[in-house]
Amino acid sequence: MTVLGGIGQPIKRKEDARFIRGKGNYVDDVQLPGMLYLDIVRSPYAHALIKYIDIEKALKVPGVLAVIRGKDLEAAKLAWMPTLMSDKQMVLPIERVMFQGQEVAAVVADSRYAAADGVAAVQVEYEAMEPVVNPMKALEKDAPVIRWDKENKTNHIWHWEVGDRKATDAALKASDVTVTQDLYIPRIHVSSIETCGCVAAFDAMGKLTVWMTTQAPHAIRTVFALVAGLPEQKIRIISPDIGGGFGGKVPVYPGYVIAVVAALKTGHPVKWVEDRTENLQSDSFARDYHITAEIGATKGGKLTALKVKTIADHGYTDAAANPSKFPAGLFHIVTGSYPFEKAFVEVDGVYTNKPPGGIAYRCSFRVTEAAYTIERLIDILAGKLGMDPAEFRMKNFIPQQAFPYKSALGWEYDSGNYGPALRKAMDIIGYESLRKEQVEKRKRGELMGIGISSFTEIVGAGPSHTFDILGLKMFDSCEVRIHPTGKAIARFGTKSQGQGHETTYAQILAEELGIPAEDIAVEEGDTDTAPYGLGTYASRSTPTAGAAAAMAARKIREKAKLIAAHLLEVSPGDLEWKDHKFSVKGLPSKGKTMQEIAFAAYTNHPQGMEAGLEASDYYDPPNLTFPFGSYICVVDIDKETGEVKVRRFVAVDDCGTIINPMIVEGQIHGGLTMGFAAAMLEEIQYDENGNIQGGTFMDYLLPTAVETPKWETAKTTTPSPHHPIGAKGVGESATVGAPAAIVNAVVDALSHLGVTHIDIPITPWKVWSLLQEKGAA
Amino acid sequence: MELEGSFTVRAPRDRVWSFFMDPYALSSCISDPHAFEVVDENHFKGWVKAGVAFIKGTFNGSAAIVERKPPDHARITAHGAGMGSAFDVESTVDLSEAGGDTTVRWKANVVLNGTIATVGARLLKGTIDKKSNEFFENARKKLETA
Amino acid sequence: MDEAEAMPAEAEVGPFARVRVTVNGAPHEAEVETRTLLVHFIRDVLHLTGTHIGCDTTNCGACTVLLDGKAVKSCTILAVQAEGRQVRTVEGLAEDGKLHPVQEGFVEEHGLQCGFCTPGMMMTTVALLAKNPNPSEDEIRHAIAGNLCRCTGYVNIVKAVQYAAQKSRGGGSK
Repeated sequence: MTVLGGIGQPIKRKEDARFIRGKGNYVDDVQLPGMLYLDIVRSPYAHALIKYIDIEKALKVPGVLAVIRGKDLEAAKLAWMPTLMSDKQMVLPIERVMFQGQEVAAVVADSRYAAADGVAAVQVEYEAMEPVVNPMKALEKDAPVIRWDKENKTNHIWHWEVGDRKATDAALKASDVTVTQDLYIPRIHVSSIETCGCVAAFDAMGKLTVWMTTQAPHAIRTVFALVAGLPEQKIRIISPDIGGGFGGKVPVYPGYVIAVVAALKTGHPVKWVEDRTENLQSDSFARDYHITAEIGATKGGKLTALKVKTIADHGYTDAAANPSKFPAGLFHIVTGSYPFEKAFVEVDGVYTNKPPGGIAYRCSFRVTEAAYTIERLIDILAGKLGMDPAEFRMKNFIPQQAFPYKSALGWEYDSGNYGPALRKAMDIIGYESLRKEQVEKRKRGELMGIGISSFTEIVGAGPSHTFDILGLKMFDSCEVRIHPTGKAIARFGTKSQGQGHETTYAQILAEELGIPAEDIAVEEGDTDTAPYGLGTYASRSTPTAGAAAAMAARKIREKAKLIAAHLLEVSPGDLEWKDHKFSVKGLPSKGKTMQEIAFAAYTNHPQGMEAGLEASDYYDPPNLTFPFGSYICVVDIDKETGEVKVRRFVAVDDCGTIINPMIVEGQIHGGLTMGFAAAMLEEIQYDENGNIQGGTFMDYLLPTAVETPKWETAKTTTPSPHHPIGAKGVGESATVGAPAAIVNAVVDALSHLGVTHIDIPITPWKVWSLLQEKGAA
Repeated sequence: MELEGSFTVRAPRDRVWSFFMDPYALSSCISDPHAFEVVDENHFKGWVKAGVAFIKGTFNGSAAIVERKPPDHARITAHGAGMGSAFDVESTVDLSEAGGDTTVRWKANVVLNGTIATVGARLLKGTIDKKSNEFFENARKKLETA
Repeated sequence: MDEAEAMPAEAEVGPFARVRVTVNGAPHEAEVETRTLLVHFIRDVLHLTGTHIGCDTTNCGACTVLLDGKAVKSCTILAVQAEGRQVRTVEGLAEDGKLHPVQEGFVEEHGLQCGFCTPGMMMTTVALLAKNPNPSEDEIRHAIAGNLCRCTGYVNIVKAVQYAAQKSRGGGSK
C-alpha cells in the first residue's frame, strides 16, 4: 500500500535523490554554448578616490573580450542601484570606492583563468582617503563624511524607535533593582557553502534568463524590470538548486547586474561565480549591533521595564534586507518571553567604510539580536537578585492564559506555553543535579556553568497591512494542478535552499488532498512557471506558502466535493471529508477518493462545471507566528587554556504543528550549529585601515564536526491558532536561541569570579585573559 | 606595521652610504624578479614579482628618496600596487661608524591594503621579516666582498 | 638587471599539456593549460558537476574526490598531477543504478540538506570506511573535519556514516 506521507510523517526527502548522485543543478553547474566568464577587480582601499582605471593591458590578455567600468554603466543609469531599504548602492564606482573589496571593474573572458588574468592586468590608480571604520567615531562631529553623494552631510542614516520612552524611564527609576549592560553582537557572515553567482543569457527575442543564487526570484524579476527598464515578461529568473542561503542570498549584488550587462554587451551568456574570499569580503554581512540595554525588577524578582539603545553599523549604504517599515527589522521582539509593561527600543543606523548588508544570519530580521539581548539581560538581572535563572524565568514568563498576548512594543504573540518547555529541558538535562555538581566543582576550583535561553521568535512575515519589501506585499503563493490520473504538480513562490520544500509542501498537500506525497511534484524558483511570491527567508515558507498550500488544496476540495456528489448521485451536503476522501455521512464505505474525483474532473465532470481540478492561493497571513523554545547548555572550562567545552546542550523547541519531524530536527541541528558558530567562533573584524580580517576560511572559522556539540533535541507542541495547519516555522529558531544559552553557561561558570558578561565570540583567548585578570587561572 | 632592524657591516660608512644611495646596488639585493628605471636622481619606478602565501603576482611601484643627509641619514618612501593590494612604505636608514665597521639601523612603517592585508595578514609578518632580512643580508655580503 | 624591462605579461597562457585520467572507470583525455586545477578539469572539461567548489583555501572540502582511492581536495591539485591515475567522483558511487551504502546512509539518516557539501562529504566517508570499516563517533567526526557543512550540524552526517559502515560490513539496514 502506498504511504500517504501526510503531516507529521518522517518521510525521506524527495530532493535527496539527485543530490546524493551529484545531479543537483546549482548555478555554477549551468553551462551554455558560447558562455563567457566574468571576474571582478576589487578595491584594495576602504576609502579612496579613483584617479583612473587603465584597461588597455587587460584587453590585450588572450581570451579577454571586454572590461566593464562604472562609466560604461552610467549611460544605462546602472552605475548605482537602489537597495531594499531605499538607499542606493554602487554597481561599479565612477569616482570613489567605499570599502575594501568593493567591485571596481569587471573583466569578461572566454575562460575562468583568462578572466582572472584580465583582472590582474587592470590597473587602477587610487588616492587613499581616511577610512571610517568604527561606527561610534563615524558619529563624531569631525568624522569624514562617507556619503558625499547625499544631501545630508552626516554618517547618521536614521533613527528609529518604538515604545514609550518616558514611561519606561520612569518605570526603571521606580524599580528596586536595575542592571545595564553593553553588548556587542559582531559582524558575521552566513557563509553558505555555495557562494553567490549567476549565469545571464539573452535569447534571440531579447528575453533575458538569469540563473541566480537567489532566495527570492520573483522579487528579483520585478526589481530588474524596475531598475533596468526591461519589460517584465522578458525577464526570467531561475533559482535552481541553492547551496544554502541563510539570508545571504536575498540581496541583489553588483555581480548579478554586471553579468547581465556583460551578456548584453557581448551577446554571449555570461557566468559570474564569486570565490569564497570575495564572498566573505563583499557580500552582505549580518548583525554588527552595538547595544546598551537596561532592565529592571522589583525586589521580589518581578520584571518591570526594558530599555534598549543600539548603534547599528550598516557599512557604506543601508542595504539591509528588512520589511520596508522596519529599518531595524523585528528587533522590537526584544521583550522576549516576558510580560514587560513598559519597554522602549531605539536604533541609530550609521555609515562606515565597510561592505553593506544587515541581512539575517539564519534568523528573521534581527530577531537573534533581540533574543540574545533579553536572554543575556535576564541572566545578569537574576544574578544581581541572587535568584536561580530558571526560577527567575519561570516566575516571569508570559502565562499561557495571556495568549494571544499583546507586547509593550506592539506585537501580538499568537500562542505560547513557555513554562512547560523550560521544565522539559530542565528534566532532560537534569538541571537540579547539575546545580549540585557545580557547587561541588567550585569547591574543587573547577569551572563549570549552566546556561538557559528561553527565547521567543517572530517569523512568517507577514500580514500585508504591515509587511512589504519595496512595496511588494509579503504574501506567498501556491498553485496546484491535479492530473487525470490523480497525481499532482504544485508550484510555489518560495525557494528552498536546503529546507526540503519538495518534501514538506507535498506532505501538506497529501494531508489535505489524500494524494500520496510521492505523487505530488513540487516546483519552485522559476519565475516563468511559479506563482508570484516573496521568497524564502525569515522562516516564512511554512507560515505563508505552506498555508497557501493548505488553502489551495481546500479550494480544490470544494470543487472535488461537487464532482464526488455528482459521481455518487448525492447532494454535496451529504458528503464529508474524512480519512482523506469524500464519503457519504454515516456511510463511510460509500465514497470517492481524490484520484477518482480527479479522473472524473477530466472525463466525467458535471455539465455546466468547468473541467479540470486546480487552484491557486495567495496567502496573506493574518499575523506572524511566534515559535519559542528553551535551551540549556552545560559547559566545562579548561583553566589552563581558557577553552570552553560544551558538555551537553538540550534544545526543546515548539514550532507548532510539525509537518516532518525528521526535517524539523535537521533544521534545529543546523540552527544550533550556526548559533554555536556565532557564540564561539565567528567574527569579521577590520583593521584600522578598513581591511577585512578573516576574509578566508583560514581565518573565518566555521564549526567543523569536531567542535560542534552533540545536540540533544525535544519538543513541545503549541499550534498557531491562525495558521491553517497550526505550523509556525522552524528553520531559524535554534540560531536565535542558542547563543544566549552558551554565553549564559560560560558566564555562569565564571560568575563567582565577578564576571557578568563576555562578548561573543567567546574565544579561548578572551576566557584565558579573564581568568588571568581575575587571578583564577 | 612598524618594522625595524639593524646590522653591522665590515665596511666604512662612506661606502655604505654610497651603496644605499645607489639604486642599482640596492636593486641587486632584491632576490625576487624585478626591474626598475631611474626617473631622476631621487625617483625610481618599476615592478617586482613577489608574493605572500598563495597571493603571488606582479606589483608595480615607485620609490623616492625624500631626504638625504649624508653621510648618515636618509628617508625613503615607496608605493606599490597589484594583485588586489596596495602598499605604502615610509622608511629611514641611519648609519653609524665604529672601528671601521658601520652599523645600519633601519625603520619602516608599512601600510598594507587589500588582499594582502586581508588574506595574507597572519603570514605577512613572517614574509616581510624574511624578505627584509634577505635584502639586508645581501647588502651586507655585497658590501663586504666588494 | 640593469635596465627596466617591459612588465611581464600578466597572462601567461599555456603551456598546455595532455592529461589522461581514468574517471569513474572511464578513460578521459584532454589538452589543458598546465595550471588547470583538477576540480575545474572535472567540472568544466568532463562536465561532471557533482564535485563542487566552496572555497579557495582548501578548507571546505566540497571538492573532495578520490585519487587512487585516497580522498583529496581537487581544488588543490593540478589536473596534470592526476595524469595516469584513477579519479572517483560522486557520479561514480552508485553502480548499476544501485546506490552505494554511503549514499543510502545520507538519505536514510537525513545527512544532507542543501546538498552542496554532500558529494565531498560522501567521498571523504568512502575513503574513511575503506581504511576503517568500523569507526567510532569521534573517529568519524575527526575524519570529516576537513569537510564543512553549514546546514546539518553534523549530527545526522555522523549517523549516515554509521549507517553506511554497518551496511558495508554486511549488517544490512539497522
